[in-house]
Amino acid sequence: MKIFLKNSIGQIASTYAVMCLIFAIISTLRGVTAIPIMRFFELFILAVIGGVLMEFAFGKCVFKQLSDIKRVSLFIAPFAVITFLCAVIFQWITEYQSISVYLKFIGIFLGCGLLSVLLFEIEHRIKGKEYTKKLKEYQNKEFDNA
Amino acid sequence: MILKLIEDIKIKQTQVTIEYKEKDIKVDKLIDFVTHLDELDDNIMASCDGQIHSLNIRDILYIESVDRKTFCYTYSEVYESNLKLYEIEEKYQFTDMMRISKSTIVNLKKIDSLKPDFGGKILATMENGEKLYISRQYSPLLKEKLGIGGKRL
Repeated sequence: MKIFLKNSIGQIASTYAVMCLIFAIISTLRGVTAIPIMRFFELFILAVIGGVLMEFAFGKCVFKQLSDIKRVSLFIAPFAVITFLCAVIFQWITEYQSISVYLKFIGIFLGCGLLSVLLFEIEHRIKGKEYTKKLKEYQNKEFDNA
Repeated sequence: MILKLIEDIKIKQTQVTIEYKEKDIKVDKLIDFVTHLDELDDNIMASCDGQIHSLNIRDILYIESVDRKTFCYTYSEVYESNLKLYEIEEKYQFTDMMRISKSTIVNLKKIDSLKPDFGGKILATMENGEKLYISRQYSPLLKEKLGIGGKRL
């Protein structure tokens, strides 16, 4: 439980950072010049739920052995529902009758998902360079015991 | 750890002195390694095309267990060994061979690059371009061996 909470804090922090970044990009693209402070608080609530859910699905504390597809499913579906509920509660969506609003919501959700994957890929590439550097250091050690 | 090598023609027999502040796991491993040095055999017997070969483990890229059979992969050939994967793991624990998943042992000296992957795994690209996954279970051990910090539980 202690490890779960510790890891969740890290997940919440990274989720919140990604959310704020995506929100800022979308707002800028839509020509929004001012963002209400409350919006960041609302995003934080979503980030807390998302971060805990992320640790629940992808962490090793709850499910030690689970396939990647199952982990992704375990995260995406509930997070989509929670995001939609937040959108309704925080009135990000106001016109419930319009199909275009729902399509826009799905589009933004998928877009955010893709952007998150892209950010993770960039992070993995940077870490990969560090790992490879350490590997080369190991391989070039004079004390060769193979 | 500092490695000091002294070449002296006057010395009749090679001697190893281990100086340590505190006897920890690393020191124990070092003692174990030196003690069993004579027992270490760099070669592994494996067959290919009906012929038995003596393979040097330095030439092996990785060893994989498929359907209870053990295969050793080199740049050009695939050899079958009679040894079980756990036996190879135990026998070559002090070398650059390292278990990376339930079914694979890799030669760390033959990895070209590493990249973290989804779900805590690490993708290893071998010198021949083949890609192997280091499972979530074994990636902390690899990080520890390479001295990569930030062990995540």
